[in-house]
Amino acid sequence: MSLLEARELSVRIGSHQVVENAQVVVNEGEVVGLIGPNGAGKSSLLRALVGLSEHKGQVFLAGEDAKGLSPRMRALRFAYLPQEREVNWPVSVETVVGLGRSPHHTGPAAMSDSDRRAIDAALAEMDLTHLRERQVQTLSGGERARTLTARALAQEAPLVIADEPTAALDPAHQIGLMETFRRLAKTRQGALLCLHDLGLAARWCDRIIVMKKGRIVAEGSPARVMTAGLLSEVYGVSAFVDADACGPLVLPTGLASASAS
Amino acid sequence: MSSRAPSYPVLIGGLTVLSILLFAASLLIGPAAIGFWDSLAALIAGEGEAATLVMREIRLPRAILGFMIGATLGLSGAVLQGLLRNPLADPGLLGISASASLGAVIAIYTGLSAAFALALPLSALLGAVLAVLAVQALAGAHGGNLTLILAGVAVSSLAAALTSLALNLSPNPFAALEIVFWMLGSLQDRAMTHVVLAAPFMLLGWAMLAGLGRSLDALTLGEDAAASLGVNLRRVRLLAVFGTASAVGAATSVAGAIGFIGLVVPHLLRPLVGGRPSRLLLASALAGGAVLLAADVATRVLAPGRDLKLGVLTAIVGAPFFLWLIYRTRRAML
Repeated sequence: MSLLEARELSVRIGSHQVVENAQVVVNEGEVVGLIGPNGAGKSSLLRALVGLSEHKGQVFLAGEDAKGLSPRMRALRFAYLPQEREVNWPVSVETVVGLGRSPHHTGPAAMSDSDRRAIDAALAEMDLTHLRERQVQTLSGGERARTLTARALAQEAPLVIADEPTAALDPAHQIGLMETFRRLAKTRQGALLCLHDLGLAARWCDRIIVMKKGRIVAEGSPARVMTAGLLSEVYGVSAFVDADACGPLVLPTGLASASAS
Repeated sequence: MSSRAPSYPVLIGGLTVLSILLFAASLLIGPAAIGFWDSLAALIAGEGEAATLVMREIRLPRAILGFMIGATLGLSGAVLQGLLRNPLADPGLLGISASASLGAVIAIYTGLSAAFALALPLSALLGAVLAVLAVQALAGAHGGNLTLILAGVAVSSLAAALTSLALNLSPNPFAALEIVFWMLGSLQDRAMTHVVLAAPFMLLGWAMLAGLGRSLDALTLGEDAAASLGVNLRRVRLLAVFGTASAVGAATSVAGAIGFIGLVVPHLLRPLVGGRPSRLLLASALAGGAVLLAADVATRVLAPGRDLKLGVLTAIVGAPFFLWLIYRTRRAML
């Protein structure tokens, strides 16, 4: 079953058509990568999918029209990690991660055992257990990013929609995070990730959606979509594309020459 | 460095005890020298004699208003700082206090307040109501924080300008003096009728603000993340704006504009509650009440017979504190 399905999604910001007629599906057990150059409309597409911006077209969450769902019901169906890593007050790592549990409560109820388990698991998953008491504002950028990702994981929604979740992470934590999403996929959860690291996208995603100038220009398995030709056309870069036993390898090597584009 | 703060129940318990002690101090300290036990006896069991009158008609309403107004300022300051995610937000930001003041000034200017006593607070309440409607209309139903702040600034400026106009055109120096004195903010000579008038609006405002804790917690992560966590931002903004208007409008209508408590109290307490906006609400309300009671007692102790105005005292203590706050914020940003 599809966790998320968007039909004919269009977003205008002022007079700019930033997303045009996009169709997006994320199925159970799938990690989908959304790639494209700056300004392609990736974040605008994600914001529309999660209901944060005005848009045309329909969005279905597990088969139900998102328009008919209350904000809390939506929060139980997906967790969204915005691009901005905003934390305003001097709160602890554990407090931030605990905010992921708020959709599971209607009143000011105390934390339940399942809340504590979810928070502990998310902290462990993001390698933050030793930092749980620390104030978020004293953390490094990467640690803060991991804290906010842990918040999204603690929400325990069937789908995670994340805008550049690997940005600011070191290679070990990038790979750790992608493995986390793969593990979620094994338990029939899903993930839709906007990524700039083509190597990570190629190696860890089941399916790639490529955007350019507000339109989806290609979609399919990494091996099929992420060809040197397409990367040159979409990003204007030349790339080394190969595969090993574990999957595809993509490494941008330089700017594509004017004649190649 | 997070677990050095007292636990939440200890903090709330401590602030409650402090509030009760200051409430008692406010009842027991005053120009009429009445002994400790005599004043208690007069308050509870007395009938008709002067001490009973002083306790019931002068000191009790003053103490009740002191606590309620302080709590209103602390609570609404905490809510607005959480909503706008800005430690420098305060209840005056939305133009409510300035407009309530304008309403009061008009009542004095026109002589209505001399004709009947409650005309002043009623006119101030009307000013607050008109201000919040104007701010909400200017900011729009879907307006964001920036439009809300700009609308508040615009309404504030207009109200301040009209207040100046009233002073400018004031028919006689006594009216001008009365206006100026009223605007300084005071709890002197407030009667039970003031409590009866203002308390329901303050309680209504508290009820609207008190439930916002979880939403404000989620707003710690910004508006997009909060919305994705199930927070209905529009509802939160409406409750915060109208709750503040009701409570602060009523507070200003009986006591004049009292500054800095709504700004400083939440800021002081924030480290003690681990930065969590939800825990700041009750703590700021209690501490705001305690601070205002303390300031009101101080006006009586520091300058007995000189009628030191409450708003002047809070500003004299509050402004240097504000400077220190800016200094510290700047240093933290370096």
